[in-house]
Amino acid sequence: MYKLSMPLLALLATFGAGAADAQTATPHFDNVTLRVATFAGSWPDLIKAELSAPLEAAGIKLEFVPGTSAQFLAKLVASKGQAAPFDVVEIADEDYPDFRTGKFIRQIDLKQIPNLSHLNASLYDDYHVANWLSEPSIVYDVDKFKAAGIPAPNKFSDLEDPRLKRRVLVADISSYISYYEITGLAYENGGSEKQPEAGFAALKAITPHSATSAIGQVAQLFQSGDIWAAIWPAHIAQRLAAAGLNVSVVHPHIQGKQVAIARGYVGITTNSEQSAAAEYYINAILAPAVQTRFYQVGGLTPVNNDVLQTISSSAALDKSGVPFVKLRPEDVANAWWPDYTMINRRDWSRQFDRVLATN
Amino acid sequence: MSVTAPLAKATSAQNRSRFGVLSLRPHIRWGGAIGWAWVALVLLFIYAPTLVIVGASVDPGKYLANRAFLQFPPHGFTLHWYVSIPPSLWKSVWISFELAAAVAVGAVIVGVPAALGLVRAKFRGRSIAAGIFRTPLQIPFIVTGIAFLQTLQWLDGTLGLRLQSSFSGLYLAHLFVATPYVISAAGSAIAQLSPRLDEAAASLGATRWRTLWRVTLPLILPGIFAGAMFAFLVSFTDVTIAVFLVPDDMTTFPVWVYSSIQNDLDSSLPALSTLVFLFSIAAIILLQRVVGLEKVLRGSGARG
Amino acid sequence: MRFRWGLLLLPPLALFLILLGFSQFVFLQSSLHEDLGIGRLGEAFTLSNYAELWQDRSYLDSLFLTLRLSALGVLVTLFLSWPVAYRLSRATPRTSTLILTAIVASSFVTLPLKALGLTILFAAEGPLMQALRALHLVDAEFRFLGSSFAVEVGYVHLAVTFEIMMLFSVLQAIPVKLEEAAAIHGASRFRVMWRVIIPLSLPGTVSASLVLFNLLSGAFVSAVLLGGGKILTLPVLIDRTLVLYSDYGMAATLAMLLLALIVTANIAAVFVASRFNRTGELVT
Repeated sequence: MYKLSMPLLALLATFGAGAADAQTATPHFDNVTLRVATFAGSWPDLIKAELSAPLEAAGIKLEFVPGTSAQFLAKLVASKGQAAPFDVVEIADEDYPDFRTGKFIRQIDLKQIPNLSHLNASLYDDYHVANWLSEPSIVYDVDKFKAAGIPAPNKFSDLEDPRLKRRVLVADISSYISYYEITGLAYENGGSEKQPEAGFAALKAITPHSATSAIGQVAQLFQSGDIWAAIWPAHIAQRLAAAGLNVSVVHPHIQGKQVAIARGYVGITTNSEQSAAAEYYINAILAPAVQTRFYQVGGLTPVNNDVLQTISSSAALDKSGVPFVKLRPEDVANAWWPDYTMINRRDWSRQFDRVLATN
Repeated sequence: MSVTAPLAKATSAQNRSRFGVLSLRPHIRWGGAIGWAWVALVLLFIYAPTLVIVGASVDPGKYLANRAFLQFPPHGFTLHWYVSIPPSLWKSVWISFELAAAVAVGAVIVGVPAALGLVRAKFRGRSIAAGIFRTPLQIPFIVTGIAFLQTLQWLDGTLGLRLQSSFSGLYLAHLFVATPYVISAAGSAIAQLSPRLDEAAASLGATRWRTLWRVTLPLILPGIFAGAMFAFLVSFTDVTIAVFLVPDDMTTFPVWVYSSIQNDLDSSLPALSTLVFLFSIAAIILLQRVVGLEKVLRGSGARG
Repeated sequence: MRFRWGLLLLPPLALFLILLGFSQFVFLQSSLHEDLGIGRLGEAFTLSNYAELWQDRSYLDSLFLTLRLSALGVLVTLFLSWPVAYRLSRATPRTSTLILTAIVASSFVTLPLKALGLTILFAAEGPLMQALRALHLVDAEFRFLGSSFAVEVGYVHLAVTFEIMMLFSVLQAIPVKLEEAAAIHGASRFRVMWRVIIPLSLPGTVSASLVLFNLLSGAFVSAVLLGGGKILTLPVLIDRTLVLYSDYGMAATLAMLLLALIVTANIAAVFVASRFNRTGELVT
């Protein structure tokens, strides 16, 4: 009978790491139900496909509460003082300040999430951890621009070209993308988050086709030739290219950074009784399996640097060989985003509506 | 010249148009043709978007990868989208159907007595009562939707009555906006009944209840059906109110369509919508055979 | 009649009063409270929301936009529907039933679907838009989505089926014999229309148009899906105020503004209608 040698044992241990990645022992939970508040539709299916089995093996049963970050915030406000309506909650960048000031999320024991070592330091802190990224950018139809003799855009302000009148779609203020377009335009024209007037003036000069938060509509409008360019996350270009359109992506550089990044965070609610299970879950969604699925099916940019490294070598390219989405870890590290603490969202919404209405 | 000569000329066989309507003069036929052309154009206008959706439902797109957008006219033909409709979407159609049917029944139960009372009772505040029953249609649906939502939240917060997770809130809101149609249609039908019918029944020894059940109700049945059909229609196609009141985990068909358009367009959307439309046509034709729509529409009187 | 028919009325009336009063009260009274963000309202009564209505021009602009689009929608729908209703009312029962069935069937298609169909139909490079450009009816820059034209088309789609059915029941109540009598007495087709049919159908038409105005003023789906975020009618603004910033106070205030518009229009219409007697002659 063979005795398993130490090196062989070590090798087997590495194979057995699986979804729990980098954890030496699998913690066991006593059949707890973890309520995760996240996007509706097919998003929970993405997560369940990878995580139902391993989590159940660890004694955690997943239950999803559908909605948006803003809706979850409203629910937490409504249930203040009572039991938390969910344990893990999807937090949008722009809502995070409200989650903190309302004390709706608790501190996370980061030591319980070893996968954080694969994340860029700017993507997490004690209260929230990023689990996906998107890259607001300019997506444009190369053929239409060439036919009209318009040079390829470099920055948001290039969309003010009179030949693009009513041919540029902008993101609606109800979507996080809008904060990038307004902030970006502001910085390009001498303003900032605190002084966005230049951004709104530039938005007006663009004379947008329309404002929307519906990705389906953006794809439809590109195909029908109604719009020639859109300020939208870059991954839509992959979808359009796959459907036969010659589109390209430009990532505007603001304040010396190469790419705009929007983060989708998760946090743990203050009154949750399952914080240990929640931390285990958060660690699990940072693992390569889920992160790869977020990219392949959801079209989002992963946060796990290992995954980024792997997929950046096979990133989808446009007709001129440039990747649509910037997927190298160093790109993600050198990104810009609006400082939401300096933005009065109510004020920006009213201004946005005013600019769009007078078009 | 006799007085009847023009009448004789008018009614002569030569002057009957193709459609069997008595024509008085030749240029009325001209007016008739223009009228039909207008009808054809308006029908085309009404049906154009629906035909586009039907056409897009058979367009293959690039269905090996999830379709990115809809095309019309279709570049090919496929039934792929029809067979790949997910079960959860069929469920939403079924939920809409159940809800609308329940609303129609409820609207009749509430509306017919109200119509009887409004038409037959003589009291001072009658027009005010009639006005109250009309208000649901004067308040914009979006206001109704938000108002009911807030009321449900208030009930939850103050009385602990959790109604949001069920369809009861939506049912009440739909009942609220659908019943006026039943009241109006049934009311018109009741108003056209001759009072002699009740007197005749009474003189033959029928009790009030029997008269109501055996004489009045059967006669106003077309009106009730008309109202019930409108009630069903309002509930089945409503988006504005349902969007606020639908529970988290289940949704109605119109709300699913609306959120699908607002978020990511589901590829099977045109296919399922076409099926629902075809089913509606079949149902209406059936209703037409059973009840007789022309009685319903002519008999519901001058809604003036 | 010893039997009190009025008793039948009481349960439905009670139900309606509860549903109406309760819901409207809970919602509309929040217009008198200050918004504290994320769906919370202040304790004290305040008129600050109404003051904001007055101070911010864009709210009043929205009111006038709603009024303009609804009124135009009513006129266009009337223009399209009246001849159809008249033609059907004078047709054989078989034909009119067939066509009315088709019209009713079309209203079973929910409005978001029609909006989607319209966007595809009016695609910038599609045959319809190319034809419109060739006929110089629109310029090269015109885009369907996001134009008030698109919202109007949506409005008309919403309204036309109801209008045809309402006008049909009004017009078919006017006996054909009246037209024949007038014609026999020498009236031309035009005079028959002008002096007989239109006056008799006027009260019904005005009433139907009022219903339509109410409907269009509150129309939300068309404006949202076809307006492209640029056509901000009051219903759209109410929805945005609620969904974007959970401001129940301001949403309720805007709802009050919309109700004020509708009530004013209804009163004005009733006043105008009362100046005409039953046969459609102006009474001074």
